[in-house]
Amino acid sequence: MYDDQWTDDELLSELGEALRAEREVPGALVDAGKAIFTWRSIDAELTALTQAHLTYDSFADDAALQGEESSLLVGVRSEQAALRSLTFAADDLSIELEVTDDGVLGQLVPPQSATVEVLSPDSSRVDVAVDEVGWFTLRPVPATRFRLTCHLASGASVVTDWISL
Amino acid sequence: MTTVTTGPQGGSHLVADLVTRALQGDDRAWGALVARYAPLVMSVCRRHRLDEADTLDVAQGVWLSLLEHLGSIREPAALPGWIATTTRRECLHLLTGKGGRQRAELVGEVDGATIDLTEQLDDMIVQAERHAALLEALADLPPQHQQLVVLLIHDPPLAYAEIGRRLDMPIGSIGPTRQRCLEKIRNHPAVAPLLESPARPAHR
Repeated sequence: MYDDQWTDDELLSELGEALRAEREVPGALVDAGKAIFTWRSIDAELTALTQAHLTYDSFADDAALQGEESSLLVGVRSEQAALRSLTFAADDLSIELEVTDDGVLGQLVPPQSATVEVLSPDSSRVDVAVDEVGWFTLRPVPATRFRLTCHLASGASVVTDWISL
Repeated sequence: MTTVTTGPQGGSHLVADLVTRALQGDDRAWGALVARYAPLVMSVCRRHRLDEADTLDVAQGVWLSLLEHLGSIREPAALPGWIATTTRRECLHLLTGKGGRQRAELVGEVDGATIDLTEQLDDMIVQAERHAALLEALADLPPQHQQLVVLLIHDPPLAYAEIGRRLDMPIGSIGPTRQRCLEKIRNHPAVAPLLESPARPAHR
């Protein structure tokens, strides 16, 4: 046994572990990571928009009430409320979301018509219909994290933080 | 084939090069960064007992953060630590079902279990870097020698006769070729610094 070198067998066994660890990574994990590269161009576009940050999350309050330290260390999902509601706020606009089993209900505050778009990490963009008082629905609940952009009649545009449901 | 610059930091030169090229818009360099760190992301997620769907969700958050922070990476050697910490934060974030506002921080947690986890995180980083260096060295071998190494570590083990048959190689040359391959891997600029440092793998 050497002190400062791996023996041939140790080296081969480490190589075996390295290959095994690489093989165990789901292809989807690497593919999704590669696909995210296209997000760069969207990101550059979004930095010009007004940012709406998360100001309320009903789940965050629940987690705090139930003692987040313990739940976080044991690695168990905290009990979840039936409905999750979130608010994203910018200076002149708030976006309120309520998550149901089959979709996400949205309301622009103050109420107004706008163009809302769902942006996904793979750079896909989906337009959402918004009525004249600012109601909109995302159906089904987005499976991956997403951001919303709102283009208002005033010409202003607002983008939310990443939303993960 | 990837070119690697010799130096005390070994693999960091490759990483620095990949970061620079990704910032210039090279999607293959970005893909190589993702592939290099995917096993580390996996091992941290596994430690937090996430299922595959949650692991994919966490990974997506990590890649998005990495893309966002790519331009501000000054020290590529610190990148594995950054990846592990970011993955852990995304795991905790997901497990507590919270929004983006509140995030658990590594600093400030004094619970014994948490310190234990931080040590494990360090072990995962060291192991992931060792694996990445070995795979880098393996990838720099000629294709037939790569195949030989893969067959040599086949589980269950293969007899030299079987290896010789699969590679159409005389049995007598397998031993000496094995020796040459392992020497090349040992002397590879990504691997050599690991052998000189005391951070030798625990022998199992």
